[in-house]
Amino acid sequence: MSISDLLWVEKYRPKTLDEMIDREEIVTRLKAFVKTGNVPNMLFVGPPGTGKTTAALALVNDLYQGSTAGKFMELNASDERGINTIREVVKDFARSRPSTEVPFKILILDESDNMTQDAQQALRRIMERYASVTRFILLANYQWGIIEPIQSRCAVFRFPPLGPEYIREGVIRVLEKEGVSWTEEAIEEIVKAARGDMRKAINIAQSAAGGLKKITGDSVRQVVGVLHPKEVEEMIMDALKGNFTSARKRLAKLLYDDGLSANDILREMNSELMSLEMDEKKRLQVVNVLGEANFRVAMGADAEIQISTVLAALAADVQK
Amino acid sequence: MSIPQLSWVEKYKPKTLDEIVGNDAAKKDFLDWLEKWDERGKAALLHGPPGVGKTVLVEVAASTLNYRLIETNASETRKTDFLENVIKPAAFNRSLFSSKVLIFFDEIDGLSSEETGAINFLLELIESSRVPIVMAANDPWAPHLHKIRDKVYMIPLHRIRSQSIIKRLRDICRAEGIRCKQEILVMIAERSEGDMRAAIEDLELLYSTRGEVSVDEAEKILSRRNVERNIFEILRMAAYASTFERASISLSSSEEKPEDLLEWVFENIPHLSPRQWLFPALRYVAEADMLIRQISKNSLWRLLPNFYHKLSSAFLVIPQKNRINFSFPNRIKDRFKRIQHLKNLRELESFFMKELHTGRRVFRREFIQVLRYLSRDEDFRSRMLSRLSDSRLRELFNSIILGEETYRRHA
Repeated sequence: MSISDLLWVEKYRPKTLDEMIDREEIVTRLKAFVKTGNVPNMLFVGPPGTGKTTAALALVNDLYQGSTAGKFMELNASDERGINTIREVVKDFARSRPSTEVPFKILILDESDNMTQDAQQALRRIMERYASVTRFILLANYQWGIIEPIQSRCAVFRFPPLGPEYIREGVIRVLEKEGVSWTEEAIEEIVKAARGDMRKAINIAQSAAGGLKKITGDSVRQVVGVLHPKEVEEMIMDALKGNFTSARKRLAKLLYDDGLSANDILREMNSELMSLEMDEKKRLQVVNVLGEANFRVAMGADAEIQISTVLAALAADVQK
Repeated sequence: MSIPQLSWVEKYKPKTLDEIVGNDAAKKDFLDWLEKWDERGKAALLHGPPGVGKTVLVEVAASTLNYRLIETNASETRKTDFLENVIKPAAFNRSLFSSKVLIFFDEIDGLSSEETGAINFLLELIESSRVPIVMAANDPWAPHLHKIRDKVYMIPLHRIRSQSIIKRLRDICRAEGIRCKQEILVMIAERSEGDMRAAIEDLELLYSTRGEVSVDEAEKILSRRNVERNIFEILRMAAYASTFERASISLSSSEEKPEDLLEWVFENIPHLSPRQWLFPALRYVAEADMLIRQISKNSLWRLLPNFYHKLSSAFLVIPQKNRINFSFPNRIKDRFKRIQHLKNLRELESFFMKELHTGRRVFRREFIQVLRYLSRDEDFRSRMLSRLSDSRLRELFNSIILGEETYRRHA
């Protein structure tokens, strides 16, 4: 049985393009594709929780008028089975083309900016070879994570963070349907914590309700602290204070307990570093080491060793 | 980095002279010499194979006879400023310290023949010190130590008899509440070749995490241990080596896979290095890491010497090293658990990713927390579990989400 109605983000995910909040321009263009019955390969770019997956699924739904079974497929590019899986899936797709009114199927490829360059080259060939029977919707957080030849074969759609008023609208829409009452403060706290990420907003709302029929500013604040702990920030602070051992423990937890990728951790560290109060010379030194680490991890070096070196740089005195 | 727990070697280190096992003649000789100090020269040299109690004898004698012990290892002995600022005042200006002072140079065979500065300093000190000087060495017969040899009172220590080792091991077993077969104790003692420290390390290796061990198992575990002891020695030599060449030769003589050798260095460097040298040292480790991945990926084995050079640099960039007992890398120890945990995580998330149309990153960063939080609610939890039709899935949900399964390195 499906669990999709247990989580509000899934239960209230817009099913059609018309239900989508904000994203007016995108919706208009996508609807035009639906109208002509033809869609190009597409690249949806934007931070998490901005409607990329929702738009892709809604497009599929509208295009095939609700009967989507067997006509689209979702894959995750960070799947360890890699590009070969994608090739197999697409081949199977092509082979099983139904002789109905649907001339092509759609393959949604999430986290496609996580693919290596080689894998992306292979993907490009697959896209060309099966162009007649399959259309690709690539989802990515960063456009520059996608190689140029793929970008140029795709219609690019940008999904910026949602404005506060839209987050507000989305959350209230869900709370009303669930019969949960709210205080103005609760909504404000959610909007503030979500920072334009609709999924985050609704996840916070559901967690804050926690089976009850009311959310308050307090219950929201409590949830935000638990759902989005500032672990990377704390790791950096530990290292800065010279507590290397503790910083390393936090790193091990992030890497091995939570299974975060080195890339994500380094990216977060980078943005933390920019906003932290510290000696500019030291910032320069640490940012350099971080860049090295990032590059080396991409080249196959060990995440823990490389990030530990960044932590040691944070703990070290500035080299004169 | 985990802080090493008190090893059994440390925990059961003798605290009184009576607790020191074996070498009774040397013990008596040393105490006599100390008592009548200056009659038989200003310095004594305890020499003998590893693990027979040279260091312990000095430490216990000092504390028993109320000496203030100034202890140095080879790497400190070659630091001119340390010799000038710490050793010299202690040797010549007794008023600086309220109590009696005993100066101890451990591992003097760690000094190389090129280090004439340190050797000359020792020779001078032996001539004129106003306090007793003790030195220890595994191998006092190295040619460049001959001048020192000529001027000191030599006290040999010998391998400890198996019977004595067995007795000591049995005492430890009793204290730890371990039931250990006599056969295994004999095996450990014989393999140790008279090295008490090695014997206790082996005992700890066998029993610290297990209740009982069969003779076969013990044999298997201990034979692997042989290779390990080899690496401890190699690391010690590389870490305290005085020249780049010596460090490099020592590391490249290791039979460990280069990747594993890297783990050893990475794990131990933070304990070896005072804080200010951690970064430059780890930077070399990070370079070695990069290099070895490229080497093995592209079969560039002719570049392997560079890998050993990087690791050597990591050691050599630290001017003043802490004295540590090298420890087995946790990352190797926990490799299996770590991989297993990630496998479980992947298995669980492949279900949720499909259900929630979400990527791996978002699942790990957000939904795990959300699911944990929502599962505090009894109603949500039971509804969720009832939807998970597959028993394996329920099991994973129970352990990862509800039980907060972790890869626990520091438990």
